[in-house]
Amino acid sequence: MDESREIRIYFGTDWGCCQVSLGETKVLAQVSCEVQQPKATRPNEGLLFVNVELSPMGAPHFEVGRQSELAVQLNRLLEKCIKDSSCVDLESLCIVAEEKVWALRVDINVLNHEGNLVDAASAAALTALSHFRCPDVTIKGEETIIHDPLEKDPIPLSLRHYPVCVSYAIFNKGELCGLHLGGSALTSYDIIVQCANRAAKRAAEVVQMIKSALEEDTNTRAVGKSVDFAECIRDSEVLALSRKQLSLQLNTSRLREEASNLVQKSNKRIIYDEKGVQMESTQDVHDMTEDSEEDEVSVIPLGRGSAELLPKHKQLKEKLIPAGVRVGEGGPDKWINTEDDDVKIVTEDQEQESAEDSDENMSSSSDVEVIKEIKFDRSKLVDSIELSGDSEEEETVMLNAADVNLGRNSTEGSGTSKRKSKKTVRNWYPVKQW
Amino acid sequence: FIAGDTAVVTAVFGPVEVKPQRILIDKACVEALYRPKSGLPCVHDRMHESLLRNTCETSLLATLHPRTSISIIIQEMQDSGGLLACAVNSACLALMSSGIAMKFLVAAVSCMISQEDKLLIDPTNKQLKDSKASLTFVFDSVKKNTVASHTTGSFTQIQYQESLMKCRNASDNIFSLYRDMVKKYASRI
Repeated sequence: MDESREIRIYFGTDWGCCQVSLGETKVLAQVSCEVQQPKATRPNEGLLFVNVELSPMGAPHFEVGRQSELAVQLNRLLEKCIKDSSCVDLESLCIVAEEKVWALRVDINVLNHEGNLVDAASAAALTALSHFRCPDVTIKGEETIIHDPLEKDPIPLSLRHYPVCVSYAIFNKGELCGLHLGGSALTSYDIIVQCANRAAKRAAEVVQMIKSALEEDTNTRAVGKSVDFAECIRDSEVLALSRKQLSLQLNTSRLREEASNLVQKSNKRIIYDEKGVQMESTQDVHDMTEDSEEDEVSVIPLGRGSAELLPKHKQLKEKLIPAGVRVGEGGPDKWINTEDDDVKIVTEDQEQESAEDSDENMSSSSDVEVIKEIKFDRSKLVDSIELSGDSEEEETVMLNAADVNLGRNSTEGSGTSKRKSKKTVRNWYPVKQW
Repeated sequence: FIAGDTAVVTAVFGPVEVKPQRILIDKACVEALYRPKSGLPCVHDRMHESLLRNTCETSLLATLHPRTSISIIIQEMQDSGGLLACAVNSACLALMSSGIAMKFLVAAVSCMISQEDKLLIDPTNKQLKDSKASLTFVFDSVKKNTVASHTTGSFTQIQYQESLMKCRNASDNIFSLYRDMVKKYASRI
């Protein structure tokens, strides 16, 4: 019960910029400071703002227009965690009492949401705060001069203690200083106390990790090496697919892949619900490989339709068909069928050629072949999943595509008319088998 | 996408279902969202968003996906000059990796004109401080036409044309970079 996903902490070039990943959940935190007038009620204390942004990058259902319930909850939690526990010594942020104080701003952006945002966000905020350096200020009589970070080394913030959110409780070096019960589980006193103890240990661990990461970072900075996100991206690329490290990485592809992983899992669940029958995961793979066959077969239409595209990217275009199939009409995709059939009849030679090409491409990295197929489909499924989750209609569309596959496969060799494939599609509706 | 010290993360979602108010019957609705690293998004970011939106809309075959929306979300991770160019390039890579049909690839190059009238391509923030004008051009991969251009500061027409030509040549580097990336990661994309 004490297990948790691996925490990794990366720092950016600027002070106060860090990215924390808790397994697949990724959160970016940035601390910035400004000189402002203090509150009238507290003239010698600095200001601190915490802001959590759930960008649509984190999960497809996150919307730009603030603020969903989860966002509000996160915001409030982190505010409690950081502000109310007064971990930052606000009085040290004062420059000139009643006139100028530092106003700190902690912005937290959720890059990838895969559970337990609270932990990740609090760890990120904490790390960013401890990493941040305020510009040095000297007061010469009436003037206050803010020194450029290049001229004078900036000063780190003074944190009294390190509050970390650990799912159940917020701790302060062993003393319980805040408790947040998420969810509504019926528990007895004992369990709460047990949880509290365990959380204390865990919090200590996390703080230790943060401190060691900070130390490492200061060491590398002292040496003069530049610190930036290239390392974090490199590392996670290595984790994801164990490839050779490059200085320029496709960060987006990694995210997309993670998104598709996540989506694929939920996709499987949806299929279960719809059928009400236990399906093995291998069956999904079969379906997906069927889909990929469709890829090869229907390479032609798009190849011709978008003739002006560079030939190199033809392979990438193949994936459009399944997406097009899904996004098309609600009912059976009549027009796409006819297109394919027509083109098939006319250009059988081309079909063979292109099928061969794609075969070649597929088999070029033979041991990676199977993986490749699945990967194609993952992205497809992502497209389809964007639609689903809202209504049942989308699921029918998914079935439809599978139906079309099977329908088309049956009519492939003969090149028969549209009507036959339409009919087969229609027959599938009441039957609903894989 | 990392260019020197500037880093940008882009995510592409789509084609997805679109709200009724944004529905377009003949093509997909392209939305761009740009998030700065700190602070709330401001007007400057909206300008970036509109430039990105227009660039992506021209390069995508939006008519293939009517009544859907394609969202491009860009998060700035590190800013060390040339941020807009970085964002456009990473958006293009993300679109490529997502498999949505595109008419052409786009590459953005940023350059600046310093106080001594020197032309510097891909400047860093330090260099940008000492600039009279900063220009960002976006080119397409087929004919190297200019897809978009965004400029700040003052410069002469001749300087504009000069920088346009220089950046066009520099865009070749970026396109060959795309090609290399695709070759290496083709099995993953």
